[in-house]
Amino acid sequence: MTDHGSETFYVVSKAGTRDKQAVETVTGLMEAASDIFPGKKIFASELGSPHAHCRVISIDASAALALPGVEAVMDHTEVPGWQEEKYFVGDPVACVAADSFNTSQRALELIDVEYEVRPSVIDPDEAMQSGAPLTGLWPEGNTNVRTSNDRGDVAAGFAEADVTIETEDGWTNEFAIMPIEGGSTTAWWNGDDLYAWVSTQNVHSEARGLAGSFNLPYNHVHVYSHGNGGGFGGGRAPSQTVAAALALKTGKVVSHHVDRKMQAQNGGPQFATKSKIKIGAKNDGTITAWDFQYWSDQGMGSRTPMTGTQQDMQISLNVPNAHWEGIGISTNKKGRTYYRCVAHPGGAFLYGIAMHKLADALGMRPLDVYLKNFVDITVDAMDDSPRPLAFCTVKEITQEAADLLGYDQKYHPIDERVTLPDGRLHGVAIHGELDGHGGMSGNRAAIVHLRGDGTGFINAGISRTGCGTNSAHCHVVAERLGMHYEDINVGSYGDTGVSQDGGMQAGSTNATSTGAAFYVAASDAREQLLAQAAGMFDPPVNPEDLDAADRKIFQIADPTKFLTHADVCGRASRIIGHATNNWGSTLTRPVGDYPVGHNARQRVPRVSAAEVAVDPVTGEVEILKLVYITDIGRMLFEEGAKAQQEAGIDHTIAQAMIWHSIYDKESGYFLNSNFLMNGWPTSLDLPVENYEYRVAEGDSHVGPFGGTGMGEPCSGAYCSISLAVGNAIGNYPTEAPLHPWVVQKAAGTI
Amino acid sequence: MRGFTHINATTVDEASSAKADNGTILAGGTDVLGMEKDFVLSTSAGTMVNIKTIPDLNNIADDGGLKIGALATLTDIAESSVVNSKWSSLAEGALKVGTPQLRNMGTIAGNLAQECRCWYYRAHGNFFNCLRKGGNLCFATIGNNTFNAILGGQACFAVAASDTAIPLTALDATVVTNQRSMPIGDLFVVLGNTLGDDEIITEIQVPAPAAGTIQAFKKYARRKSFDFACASAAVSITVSGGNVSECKIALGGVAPVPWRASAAEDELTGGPVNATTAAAAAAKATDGSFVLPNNGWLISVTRAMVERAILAAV
Repeated sequence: MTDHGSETFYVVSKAGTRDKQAVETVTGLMEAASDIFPGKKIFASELGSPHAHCRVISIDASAALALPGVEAVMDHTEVPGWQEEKYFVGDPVACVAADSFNTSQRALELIDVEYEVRPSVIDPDEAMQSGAPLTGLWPEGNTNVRTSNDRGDVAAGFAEADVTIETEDGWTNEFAIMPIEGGSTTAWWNGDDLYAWVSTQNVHSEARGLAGSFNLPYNHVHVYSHGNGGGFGGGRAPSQTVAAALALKTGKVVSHHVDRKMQAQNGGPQFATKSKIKIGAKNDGTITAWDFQYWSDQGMGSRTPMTGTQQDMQISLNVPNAHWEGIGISTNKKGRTYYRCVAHPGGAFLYGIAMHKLADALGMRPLDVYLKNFVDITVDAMDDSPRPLAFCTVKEITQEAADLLGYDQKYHPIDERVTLPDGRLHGVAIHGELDGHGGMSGNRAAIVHLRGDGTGFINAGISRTGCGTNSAHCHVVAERLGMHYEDINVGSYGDTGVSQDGGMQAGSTNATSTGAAFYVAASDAREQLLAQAAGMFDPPVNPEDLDAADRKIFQIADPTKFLTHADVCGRASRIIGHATNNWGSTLTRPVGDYPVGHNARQRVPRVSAAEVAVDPVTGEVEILKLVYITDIGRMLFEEGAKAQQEAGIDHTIAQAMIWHSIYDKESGYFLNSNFLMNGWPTSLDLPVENYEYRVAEGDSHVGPFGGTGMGEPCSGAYCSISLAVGNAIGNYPTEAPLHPWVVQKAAGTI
Repeated sequence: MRGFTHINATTVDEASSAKADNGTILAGGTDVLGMEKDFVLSTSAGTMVNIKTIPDLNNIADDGGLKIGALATLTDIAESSVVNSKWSSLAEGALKVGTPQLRNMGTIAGNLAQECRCWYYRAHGNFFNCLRKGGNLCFATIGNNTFNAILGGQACFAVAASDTAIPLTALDATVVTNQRSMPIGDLFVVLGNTLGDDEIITEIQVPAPAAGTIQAFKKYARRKSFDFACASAAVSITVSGGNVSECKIALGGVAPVPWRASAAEDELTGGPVNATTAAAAAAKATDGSFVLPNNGWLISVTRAMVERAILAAV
């Protein structure tokens, strides 16, 4: 039992519980989409466009079809959603189904395609120029103002400032999403019913997509998804339509395994951003005005979520006068999406540089400038509407991170070089903020079943992507029903035929939003449970006179009078709790003058602090210490939360140090699309022994039992590493990641 | 992967004949099979000629000098007490190759004969028909050349990928094939190697270091766990009477062939080995460099590897 303020929890946040699906995950027993129907399926491959922009004039597949083992070849005239114009290298042109993967690959070489090559542009700076070739996304140019908003009087704010800084930084790195299993699909048809195992973060959304693609009623589409090895926000299969189309044409089970290269190329990477930022502040560090312009390379994605670039800065700091403007740039690359933090890693990098330059200009420590300007709990900095924050501990955890790093002892001004005994340069930096993720969605659904022996199952409409979200849901349900964690198990999940829509299986929202749905479903089951129990006492009592905890359903007035869950469930007809939706971002407890039920903002405080050693000659950076604190309100599942945090730090370092998708600017070819050349770090490259992290529990007033999501907040604040390098070498790197040549350039050695 | 036939050769002659008949030598397979899977070349490997079935090609022995059979694995070499006793820089070079799994499979001959890692050459599906494949252009010269040659580039700017070739060059090794013996420098040319259609490496020979010889190998890679060298340096320095009497410095990752830094060798020869002379020699290590738009960062890294290798050898 763990105490959290005035509440007592028996299951939630309790140490020692283990992930219920861990063993099947690490032993390979969990079904992956590529594993289904071994020996009974045929295999698909895709031919991608060799041109960054072109139109297909003709396709001759006769030689491919003549290859023994080839069952079918399809193109844009048959595959739903494909068109004859292709917009990036790798844009699918044709697909093949054959009796082996190698045969399907060999068949691709035999497809003769005639193209009309069209002008293209790969580099975003070139795409912005007037007269640049049109990518084809927008009719009249390659740029589009995606967002422009203002607060207060910006000119007056700058006039009021004692100090003004301006900085232009970027580009940040675009990097590919590569879950352990690529977005694979195995699909087959039975009459008018389509079945598909899909590697995805959003199983119900895949079903809706397939229903739309093949003009089917929803109840004729059956999608399954169990393990998919991680999603990171972009874990959606680029393969399901092709697999289903080839299955329909051949009448066979078709497996479309997405390999590393195709996943990198067609999965959609995190987009790159650059900025021009101007800040005005009083001599005491109080910010008076911001002007934040940024540009993002969307590739061919019209809905790339670049507007989040400004969000963390917008919601974290008291800025009375501000202008934000985000401009999207189209280039002939696969549409950009996001990797585990939408736009925020890049956004944090850019505004973190600006904050540090402001502090340097003021002669203050960056830590003090952050602390001076962070918002308070009842201040809504996002859109000036009267909404409180569900909780806000950003000041507290930023100070805590500074203490853990030893910031007071280790900080030195940027113009003061500190040389370590081995000759390398020493630097530290800190960056705290509210992360825009972790919000609540009210449209998730869930089902809870109780059995006659007093145990139960959850039935979740999600797959498994990471650190035990289904186990987190079991904690919520067990707590709400007064049961033990081991009493609730994971039942059928990731099956659209039997589960309710659990929404996006994203680490930033699922534990809370779907968790809230399970809270509601468990509440429904609890109501039935207490009603049944009330009649079993002698004399009978009213259900409202009962409570449940620690495997007992007891009378509140006299807890010695109790029944067990097995007593009640054994006599009850089957209890099934449903939630067809839950609550959104509304307060479960008051915040200041804002009452329960008032609309609120749920943000996740996070902070990273880094200490580095830099070799300015080679550009090598060693992370001596990385402190990371994410406040998720409440750890619904402690082991899972801590695993998420540690893995989040891994990703943070990778984003800071090495991940970078590099394209040939002439052809648009993705040059480093495999693990080796992309340079993904292994565990041996990560200084795990130098991590110091904490998952804080600030008690959110919105989420179930005070919890928030954490998948994205616990990753991506990589700017502290870059800023520490700047502190070491006397100049902030303006690009990401920290390639050696980027560091050398900032250090002035090249 | 395209189709190919596979044979198990039991003699060098058999393997040689099969190679000449549209064959591709398969030893550890860590490079060859990757090439096939990625459709790097425009044609199939033809016949995969497995030479691991040839007996007695994996010995490591000190016979007055070091003799290493072509099929000795990189793990064998890295862990060999014989190699570590007198040729420690070679052991270090072998240890820096890939991962433990790759070192367990990969052979010394395969490491020397492997193809380059230039991302234009390695592009999936033979996307760039570059000079090295018979085309008429080195795409790196007009594209992204971050990891391409700063030294010795001649039309093609791909760099030699072998880690073991660098200490072997500094140690003055000889490559023995079924047809000839040659200084290791003669094995490499800008567009690959000089092995004939029916020629197979059978042994590597390294002379015993002269008395007073010190040696070291240093490698810089983007990842410490496993990666190809961005720049590496191997030094073999013979010190006599407190001064350098002979010096060989070889560079890896920065030239199409293992590169002898002769100006740096000259700088170091004749004087003592210390921090000052090491820095002076390192400063000359990239003499004659030709920098492309993206790879200038390798100059300081290369010099640093040379300086650190010299000092590590002391």
